[in-house]
Amino acid sequence: MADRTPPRPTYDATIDWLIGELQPVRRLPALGAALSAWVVVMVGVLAVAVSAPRPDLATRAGQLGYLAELVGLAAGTVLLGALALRSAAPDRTPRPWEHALAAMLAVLAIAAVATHATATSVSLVEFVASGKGCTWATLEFAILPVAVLLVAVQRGAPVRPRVSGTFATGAGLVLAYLAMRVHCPSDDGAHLLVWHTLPVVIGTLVGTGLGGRWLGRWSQRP
Amino acid sequence: MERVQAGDGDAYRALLEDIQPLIRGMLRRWFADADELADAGQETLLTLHRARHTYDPTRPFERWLGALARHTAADLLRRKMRRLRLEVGVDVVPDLPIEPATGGPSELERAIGALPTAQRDAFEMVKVDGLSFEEAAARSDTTVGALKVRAHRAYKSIKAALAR
Repeated sequence: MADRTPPRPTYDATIDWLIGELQPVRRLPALGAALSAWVVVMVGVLAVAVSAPRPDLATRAGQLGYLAELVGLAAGTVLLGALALRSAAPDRTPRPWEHALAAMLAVLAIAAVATHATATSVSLVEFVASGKGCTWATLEFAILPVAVLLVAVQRGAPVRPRVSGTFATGAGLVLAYLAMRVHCPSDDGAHLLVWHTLPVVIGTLVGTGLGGRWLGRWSQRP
Repeated sequence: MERVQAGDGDAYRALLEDIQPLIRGMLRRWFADADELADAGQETLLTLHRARHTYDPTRPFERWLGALARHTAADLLRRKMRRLRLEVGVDVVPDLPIEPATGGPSELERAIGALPTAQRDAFEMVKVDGLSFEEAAARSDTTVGALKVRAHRAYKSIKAALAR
């Protein structure tokens, strides 16, 4: 009696099919080059912010606390951008301790905003009227850098798309926060937390969801 | 791998054949079942194909391949868990006709029945129900590439069984 067991699955059919599908590909840019491009974007966004600075920028620039805040934000932007760009390549995906470091820095940054900011009392109407423009400006500063990073990551093969989305949008929004610290004259704690920090936090969470939906599509390609 | 990125088919064949044992070794810690291991191996090759532009020749190939294998394994296990959650057990097995009205099953039905479940489902959805690859992939919660491979393997198995 003939053996009715189907032949064991082999890799041959898959290999033949893949070779038939093979096309030359353009390699992802080296991490150093991609990071340099990100720094150029950062400088561009900051140049726009500096072109319309807060009136007391010259005075504030001489204060160590303010300078340290700007430098810390700039370093955080570079770090988050680097993590986002790294996550485009499967073997460079940021490790859990790097996620923890980024989260810890975010908490420290929010705490720093809360402690360094001054408190002024304004009516709720005035608070909203002066604040909502800052949220829009934050989003305007963020839109280009976030788009640049998302497209750069999407060109790769992020194996943790939600994490990639978090880092990419987080980097762009922290850059926007930095630009707003140069642009907006207010140092009021409530203003900074509600109109500057909250958009960064909410936008980053949206980026997490967006990343999960969009950045993982490479693994569904035929 | 650099030649593969440039589109060299011979280099690609040599690479894909060379890395089979490596991929199996990497995946064995997640898949004990031989069929699942074979499926995961093929999925890893598809993942490698889609992500081949992300390989950096200045970095170790094994680490890159390992990351892809881990990603593929995690993805397959996640889908399996989702499928298991959706399956509903029944207390009483419903009555089914033992023999079709026209007599015993045909050679073709026997060949289809002997296929592994994943291949049979793929074959039936595409060749019998007439679904597109995209629709069938969505229905079976897999990728279009993987579904094409399953359907192709099913077709070859049926052809081989009918030729005997």
